[in-house]
Amino acid sequence: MKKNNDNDKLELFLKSNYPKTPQAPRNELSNIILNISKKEESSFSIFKAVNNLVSLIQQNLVATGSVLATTLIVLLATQNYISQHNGQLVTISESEMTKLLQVEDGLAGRSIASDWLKSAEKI
Amino acid sequence: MNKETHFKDIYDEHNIKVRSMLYSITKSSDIDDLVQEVFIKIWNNLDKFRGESKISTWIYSITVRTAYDHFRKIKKDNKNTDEGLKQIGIPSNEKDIDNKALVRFGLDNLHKDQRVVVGLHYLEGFSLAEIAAIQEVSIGTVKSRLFYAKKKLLDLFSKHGVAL
Repeated sequence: MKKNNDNDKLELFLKSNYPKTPQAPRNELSNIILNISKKEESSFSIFKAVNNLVSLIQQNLVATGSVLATTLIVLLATQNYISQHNGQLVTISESEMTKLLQVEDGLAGRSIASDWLKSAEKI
Repeated sequence: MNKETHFKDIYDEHNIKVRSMLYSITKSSDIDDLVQEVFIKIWNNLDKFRGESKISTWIYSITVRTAYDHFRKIKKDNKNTDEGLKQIGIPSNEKDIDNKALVRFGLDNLHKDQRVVVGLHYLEGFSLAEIAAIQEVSIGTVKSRLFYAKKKLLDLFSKHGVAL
């Protein structure tokens, strides 16, 4: 757009009375990369923990019903965690969710899930 | 080029503009955090960028969306009233007030859509077409937002003895 005089005057007035942008911290890029790494590592750890749990179920090493309920809650929490933090690393398919939802004993694992989730969040 | 190198190149090329845009739009004291948010979003979505727009437009869209998120977080009161002037210490009947405070008040009390357009156009020098592309709205929408913002600002400035 070709600016008219009014626009020029307004632009000048705003610019001359608007504070200068603060300079970036010297180590900004390093901080950004560090934050990205932390988030990716954290999300990955939770994902890995869920996978381990699924593996235990597959090997029949733990009581299936309650642990599947636990897994479902953890998966949901993981998905929520990841979508809040970066939204990129893990997606859980609808069919996986449906499969888990069809498992009996949906309530039995809630208390275990609650404890497990607290520890998972600390990973 | 791997993702890390690509990301670093993007940071080197655009960080000054991103910072400046965020500050022009928000004047936030949390500017460092906002810049970080933008670049983390860029990292997280870099694989999805398909080159359908210029990468600068894509980056600046993320920047503006982050500014909007910031507005939502702080839930700023946008009432442009004399009462508001008093609240931040600007007497409504006094003409000899600090222009910097007047500009700050004027911008802070625009609607967020107007605030963004004013910041991008007058402070950052983007054309209306560029702003339309960044915000994914029509040029008519940008023109309209700018028109009402300008009117509001000029009225306020005039009321306080600044004739432009």
